[in-house]
Amino acid sequence: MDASSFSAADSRAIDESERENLAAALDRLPQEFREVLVLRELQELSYKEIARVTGVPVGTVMSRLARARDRLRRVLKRTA
Amino acid sequence: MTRMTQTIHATHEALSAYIDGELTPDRAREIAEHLTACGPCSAEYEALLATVAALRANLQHYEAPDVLRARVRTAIAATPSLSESDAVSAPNPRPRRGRWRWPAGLAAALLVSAALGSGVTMLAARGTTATRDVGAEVLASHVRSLMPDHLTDVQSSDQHNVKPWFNGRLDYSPTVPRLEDQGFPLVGGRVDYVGGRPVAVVVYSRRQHMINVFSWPTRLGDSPMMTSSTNGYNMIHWRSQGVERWVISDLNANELSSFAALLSSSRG
Repeated sequence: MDASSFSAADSRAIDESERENLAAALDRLPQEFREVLVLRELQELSYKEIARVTGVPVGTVMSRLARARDRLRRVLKRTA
Repeated sequence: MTRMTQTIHATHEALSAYIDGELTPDRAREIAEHLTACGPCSAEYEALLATVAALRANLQHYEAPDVLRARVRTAIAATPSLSESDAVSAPNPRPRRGRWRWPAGLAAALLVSAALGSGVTMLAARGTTATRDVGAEVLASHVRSLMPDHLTDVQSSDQHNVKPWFNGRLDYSPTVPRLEDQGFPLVGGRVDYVGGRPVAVVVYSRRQHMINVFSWPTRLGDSPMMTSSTNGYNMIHWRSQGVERWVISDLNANELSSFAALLSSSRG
């Protein structure tokens, strides 16, 4: 495989092996971290709505989300 | 959540909230200004942005049971009556204290319903909704509609009043057949929201049971009738000739099936 087979358009889609890594990493996340991630990234709820659905303060939502993303960032290994 | 001094560098938490647009305007401006002046924080920001983008693009492929649970919980939690009040006109009212307790059978019922849907599983394309998401929203809308004054925006037993009411409110006109002779009088109609878009709801009744009929245009192909049952409510959905319909009621499954068959075969 040479460099020309990767295009800029592929930059957001990740390949099969990375997807498996992501799934495994999501499995390893504590449930409360995974929950806020799903509510934010899939359901697109606001922090306030997530706080209401999960029953924790907004500050906790903020911190859990940031920590979940930090953990997954290492798995996704994006370069800036 | 500890900020020991005025922030020299942006914390990951601040950047994360900044990306989500959840900072106050003043704080957001501080961060934005800081990012223009600070190389390391700027790099952190880019990396976090890329992570969030990758998550949003790929999380939908991750189908853990608790992902589904979170979606369903959201649909139901979005209904104020369920998460806060004690008085809900549902067949099986539960004691409520603050946070909604997710009904254990719901996800299972929806999973079964999704599995039975021939050829309709997860629609991964952006902007479409998986069948089980739609089912959860339809259920939430139905329960909400049972509250006083939530059932209809136009109340009439005459389809010549109800059908035209949707003109100007929706860009399509639902069929509103007269089924009173078969024991299903028309109650009225309203516009509700499913999948983030306004949909037509036509309300019929059978004795004291309300039946909500949701319909919207679809580009997906025909699908056979699929039934599911959740928490005392029966649901039947199908697609035919470019229209997707969901019928939901606490009416028993047999009579609801008859109703769906009548609806499906009638014109008007």
